[in-house]
Amino acid sequence: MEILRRIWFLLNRRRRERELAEEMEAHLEMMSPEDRAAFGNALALRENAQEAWGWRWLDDAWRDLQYGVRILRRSPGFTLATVATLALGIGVCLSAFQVLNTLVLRPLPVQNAERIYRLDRRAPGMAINAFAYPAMVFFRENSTAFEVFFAQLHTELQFEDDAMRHLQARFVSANYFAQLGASAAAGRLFGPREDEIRNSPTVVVLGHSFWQSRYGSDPEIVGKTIRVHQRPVVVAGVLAEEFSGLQPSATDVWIPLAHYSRLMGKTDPPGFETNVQMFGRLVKGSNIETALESLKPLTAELSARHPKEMWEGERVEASPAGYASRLTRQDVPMVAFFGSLVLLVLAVAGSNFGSLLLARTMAREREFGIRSSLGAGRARVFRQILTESLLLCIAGAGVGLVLSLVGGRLLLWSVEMPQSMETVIDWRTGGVAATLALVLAVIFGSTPATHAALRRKRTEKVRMAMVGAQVAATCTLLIAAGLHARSLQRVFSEGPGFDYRNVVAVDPPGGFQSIETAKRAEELKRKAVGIPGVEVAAICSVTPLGLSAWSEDAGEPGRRINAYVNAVEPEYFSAMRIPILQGRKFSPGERDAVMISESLARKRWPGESTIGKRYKAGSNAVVVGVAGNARTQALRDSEAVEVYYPYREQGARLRAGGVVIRTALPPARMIPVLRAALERPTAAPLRYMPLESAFEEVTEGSRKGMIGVSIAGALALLLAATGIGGLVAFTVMRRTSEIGVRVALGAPRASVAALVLGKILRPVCFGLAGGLAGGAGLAGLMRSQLYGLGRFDAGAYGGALVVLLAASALAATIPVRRALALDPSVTLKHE
Amino acid sequence: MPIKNEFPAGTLVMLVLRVLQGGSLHGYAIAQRIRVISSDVLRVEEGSLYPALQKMLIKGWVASSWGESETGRKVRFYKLTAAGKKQLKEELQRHELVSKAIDSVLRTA
Repeated sequence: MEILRRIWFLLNRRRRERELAEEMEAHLEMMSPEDRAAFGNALALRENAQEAWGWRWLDDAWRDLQYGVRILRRSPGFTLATVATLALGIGVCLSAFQVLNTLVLRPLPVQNAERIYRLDRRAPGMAINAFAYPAMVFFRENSTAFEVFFAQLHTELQFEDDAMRHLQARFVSANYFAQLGASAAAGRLFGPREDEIRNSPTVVVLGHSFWQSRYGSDPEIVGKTIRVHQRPVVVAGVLAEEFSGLQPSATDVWIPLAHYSRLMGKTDPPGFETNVQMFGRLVKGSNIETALESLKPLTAELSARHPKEMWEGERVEASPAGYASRLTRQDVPMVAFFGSLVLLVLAVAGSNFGSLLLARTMAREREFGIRSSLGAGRARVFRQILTESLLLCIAGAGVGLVLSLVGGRLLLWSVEMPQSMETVIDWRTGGVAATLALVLAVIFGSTPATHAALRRKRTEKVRMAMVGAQVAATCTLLIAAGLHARSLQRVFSEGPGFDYRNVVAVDPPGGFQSIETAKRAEELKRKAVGIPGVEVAAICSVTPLGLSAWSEDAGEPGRRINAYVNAVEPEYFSAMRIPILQGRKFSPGERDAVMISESLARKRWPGESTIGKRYKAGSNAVVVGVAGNARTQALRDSEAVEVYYPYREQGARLRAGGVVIRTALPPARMIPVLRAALERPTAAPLRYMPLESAFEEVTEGSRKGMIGVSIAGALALLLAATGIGGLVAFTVMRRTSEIGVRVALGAPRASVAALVLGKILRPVCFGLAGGLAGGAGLAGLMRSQLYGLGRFDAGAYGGALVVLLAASALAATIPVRRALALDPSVTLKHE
Repeated sequence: MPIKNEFPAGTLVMLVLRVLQGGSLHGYAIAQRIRVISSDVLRVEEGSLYPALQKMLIKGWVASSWGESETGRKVRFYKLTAAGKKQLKEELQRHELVSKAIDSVLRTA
């Protein structure tokens, strides 16, 4: 209750003050003349009385604030330098947070994002995030738990007559745009009409970036006909820029799913060979568990009707689809790693800020002396400096917020998110910015504040400590950047284990997914082998460097080893130039044989011969050969393990994915030849992917990631160098007269320089030691990303040390040289 | 001889509450009353009275209202509240306890 009264008094402050004044005046009047003299200063008495209200601290804080602003305005250079440093550090932090915010925390810009779920098929030992087309239709027609179903299918299609370039195409159900709240930048989007096939030509919607880059944002494209996958389609409209759809990825053209067959040149509707991603929107108020329960009987019925196409014990699972991405347990090390990087940059910026503030505070000695003689307590001065620190941090956070819009966008670009994902300033980013400002102000502002309050003159130790901290943080960052760079270098210089030059993977969009179309794969291979210029051709079930991957557990009971699986013909190894290290390839007719990669052989049977060993408990398969590691399904994972099954003999279970063709001539020359020979006029067109292009695309992504880490390291280096330079300049300034005397007395310049620089040697050395330790610790976190590199790679650590020492030396010598260059008579006068 | 500000710490509030038990008074009247009843020994200084009164207002031990003084001037009257009565009782009890204790020591030690 009492606190309420206090608040009430605060709100009515003016009135209360007036009443009190009146009251005391009346009291004064009623007193006898001789007592009046002893009344005392009315104002002082009033203020004393008002203290009982308990709001004095508020008044003081407000005064501190006003004073702080005045002081900061009077030294613009200092203010700008600190705000810039803080903005840099906070900006980096916020940029990283923007990535987290945009990808994980913010819902996608679609309607009712929180009710949308992606549906997956799960069974013991099997998992896939897609449903067969007929299954999708079945669920859509029979389920009541979800009010709306969406489906989409990503693929690459040929555009006009360009053999080399592919369009990123997305087939979507007709209700996609309307139900997700998309709008058109030009023309119109899909309506219910697009769900049926009529005699009119297929309509498509163009993606915004594609429209900008290919057609220069020309609205006249609406209504025109273009050729996609060698079929004429009509452009109905262009999608607005900000719509990303579910599971954002860059999409050039959107096509109604109902027209898929037609585009592929077939008359029947898509069968079980066509897989689509399925999403559902929950009915308002229901929850996902009950919805999934209601799908169980439907799954059972599907299994009864199509036992061969469904898995044993299959069930439907769901995950929220309203966000661009989700953090899983596996992501934690990576997030921790990047978080540490960002925090390190923040630490460097913060200690720079602390140093600057400390130096400035020391220069205001006189001011504090006057204040304390006027009665300011130590606590008051402490509060004053802290307030200034807070003001600076808030300003820095403000600028940092603006920087983060750009920085966040850059980071998203480097992880290949589509243009439509924007960075915004919302309450989350604002909250993080405010928290950072507060934390920095308290952590790095309290030391200068304490120094000012206690009127300490000896600040050198503190400044040294700060420089030491900066050096340590920067060293760690550089080591991290160095390790990252070296590991990438290793991965790409070692080679992925196969030869990607002069190899083309051929498949129809979506793969040969049913038994009948597997015959087509055979036919293709037969034809390919007969083409002059083709050296080897082989069928495989997973196209290398493609969009899909297939994995299974290749370990022993109690020890799980995740292996990438492929069913291949024996010629596959020649086509991909994967060496056979032990044993042999599959023989014709051999059913229960597997070939494994060298990494799996090492893991399961270290030091033994693996030929003849049983592959897994419960399977008759025996290892007949060991191949070199070939990371065809997970290029960036140097720990990848592969298992190969014989394609022909296991054909019933394992589908064909594509044909790998090694040619004598480069793909640019061979693809037109292949196309002419392999495609009959009425067959569905094929996709030709040179493995070299695919390889470059993948490495491009890693390169971009590296840039981010390097930038962080460079920023930290800049900040640390500034810190060191500042400290040396400060030291020089304080000892200017001493330097003058020494030089005047004939000391060689070198020894004087050594004297001054010797002082900073200690913090720098401690900092380096700390940085090395920190780097080793960080390397532990990075373990999953250090492909093929040990934690203590000499190149990275050594490189970091050298760079840091060089930068420090450079930063330090500048002020020393300037001091030595001064005329001794001048320096001696500087008192 | 009038002793200036011979208030044992914390007793001012108790005395004001006691005085107000007899009815509403304005600030000056409270000071006068204490002075008169104590035969001029206890003189309340304005610098102590008003802070004390404001504190009692915040704590809810007294309530104030505006009225007219004997001379027709606008003054603020203070009245004891229920909470104030309770507080007075507690302080009186504590005061008695402490006084007895002091007396015992002075008598027998």
